[in-house]
Amino acid sequence: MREHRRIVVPLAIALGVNVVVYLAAVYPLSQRVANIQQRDRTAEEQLLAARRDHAQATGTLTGKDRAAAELATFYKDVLPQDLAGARRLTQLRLAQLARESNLKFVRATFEPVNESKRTLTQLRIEMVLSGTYADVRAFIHHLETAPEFVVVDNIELGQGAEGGALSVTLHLSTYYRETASRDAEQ
Amino acid sequence: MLKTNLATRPFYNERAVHFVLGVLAVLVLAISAFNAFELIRLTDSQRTLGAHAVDAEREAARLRSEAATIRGQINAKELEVVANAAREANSIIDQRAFSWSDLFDELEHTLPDDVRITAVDPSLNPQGQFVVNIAVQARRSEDLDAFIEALEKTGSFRDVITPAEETNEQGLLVAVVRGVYVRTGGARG
Repeated sequence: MREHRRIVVPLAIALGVNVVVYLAAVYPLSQRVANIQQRDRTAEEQLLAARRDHAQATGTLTGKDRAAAELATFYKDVLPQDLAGARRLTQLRLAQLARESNLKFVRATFEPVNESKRTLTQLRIEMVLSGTYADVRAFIHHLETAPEFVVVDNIELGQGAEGGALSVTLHLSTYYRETASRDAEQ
Repeated sequence: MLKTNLATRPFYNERAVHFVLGVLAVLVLAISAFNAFELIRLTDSQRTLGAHAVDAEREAARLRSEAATIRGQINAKELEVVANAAREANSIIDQRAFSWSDLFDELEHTLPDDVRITAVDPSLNPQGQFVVNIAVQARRSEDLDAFIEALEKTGSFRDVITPAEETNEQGLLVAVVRGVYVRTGGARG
């Protein structure tokens, strides 16, 4: 063995140096990298959460703006502008539709209802007509396909005396926004 | 038998020693290469991962701050007003879209001869479904039951009940039939 000392000693020194390098540099560095990897993962999770938070905030803002714009269009283009508009839309138009459907107009009442929690004022209409069942169906069909925004709330059907004409009570509604008063409130 | 050794010097088996030394040398080289490789790789990872983490943290902080600014711009009261108005508008649009013609079609196909409808009153429940109250007059309980069975068979009505029924002066059974009206393209939730 003595003859191989020239090789054994450098090998032993090299091995020792390697062990020292591993213990002093490689292992601590690998621990630091593991910590950084953990920090990186946490940072990625935080970034994802922040992106979601940001998207939610942006969505709320744009959603609110879009909803407000769509509501403004609905109030302006679909609903009557005020009580006068609502009355014009219903009083005359409903009587015309009844006539076109061969129904006899008996009576109608109109009552605006303004509930404090609601944005819109409801114009409640009670309309009594008489005629055949087929004519009532035709009237309802005309009303459903008409461009005017009139909601049929409920329908009461009454048998005419001795099998005569059917009596129909329609509860209808249309809605409008009292812009002036609402604006003053705001 | 006579054994003789004619060698001039002692013989050592050098091959085994050389093999062991060779293996040791390869091992030391491999460990050195591993250490060198790991040092380079870990140093590089430390640099890139560290930079990535810092970037991610900075971006997350920026997004959070921007989100807070956006939220600060949103007036909570205004938002609630818009949300309520949208709910109200959606509700009356759903009622406007309710097809009375379809409902009457269903009722015509299910109404027994001895049952007469006196009133129909649909309303939206909190779940956004139409609950239809149908006031009827029938000659017998069997006729009323046949009407309810027929309504359920259509598949357009479910949970049909008669919350109230009584006999009137003419001896007719007066009842209210109530059921959830399920339609395609129904109301919003």
